[in-house]
Amino acid sequence: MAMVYLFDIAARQAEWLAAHQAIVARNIANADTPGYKAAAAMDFEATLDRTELVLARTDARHIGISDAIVPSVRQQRGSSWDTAHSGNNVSLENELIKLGDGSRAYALNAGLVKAFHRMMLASIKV
Amino acid sequence: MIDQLSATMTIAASGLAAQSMRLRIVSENLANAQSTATRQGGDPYRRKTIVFADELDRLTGIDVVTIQKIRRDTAPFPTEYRPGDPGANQSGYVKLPNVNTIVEMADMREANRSYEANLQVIKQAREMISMTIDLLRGTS
Repeated sequence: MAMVYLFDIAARQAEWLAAHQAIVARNIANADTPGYKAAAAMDFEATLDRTELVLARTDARHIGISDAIVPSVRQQRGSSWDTAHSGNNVSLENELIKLGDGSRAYALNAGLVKAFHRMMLASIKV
Repeated sequence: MIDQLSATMTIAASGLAAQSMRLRIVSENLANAQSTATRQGGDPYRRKTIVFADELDRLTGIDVVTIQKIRRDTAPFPTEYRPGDPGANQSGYVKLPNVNTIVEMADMREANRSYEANLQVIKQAREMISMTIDLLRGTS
């Protein structure tokens, strides 16, 4: 059923958005750290397209890689707005825009999931 | 690995802590802007500076911001001719702290701005968490 896939992709996007917010949070927290370079998350499409080989965990003591998809972080080059004398290239404005975008996308995602869920419930109720 | 949104909150909270420490250093500098030496020819208050660092929190596996070091400003002290001062040297000059009030004010504004940005991150993360919770609540 196609709907199930929709839920899966929505959950993946929510996970990606959460990781994206964590990266933005790290940039903002380090806005005054000398030499810190702003990081950016690999975009969702690329993260989704990439197939990853994850080691199987057969024992609880194995060091696991988390099941959630964590977007690989890449360093920003040249795309930042300004570089301070200390070598820090975090632009608070830019990061806050990214934060707002992430939050808006998350709201859209949650709204869509809600709508899908309502649709499924409607089919059950009949 | 903890949940990414809780990680967001932890990182932003570390930013808040770092910026409030910065504000504390600024207040120490401002409060001591006139603290001269009490013995003859001694050094007055030396301005403090703060250095942040990006550090991996080993417990949670996330990168937080920490205070790497609190340094002393090595800039030379300005002097003023004040023969009656207890800290004055043989020729009557007294060393004043190397604190520039305008610079401290600018630093304070900057700390304030960064603090606000970190608060905004926490607000957005909380909103996202409550949106997720609303998914369960909304459809009955």
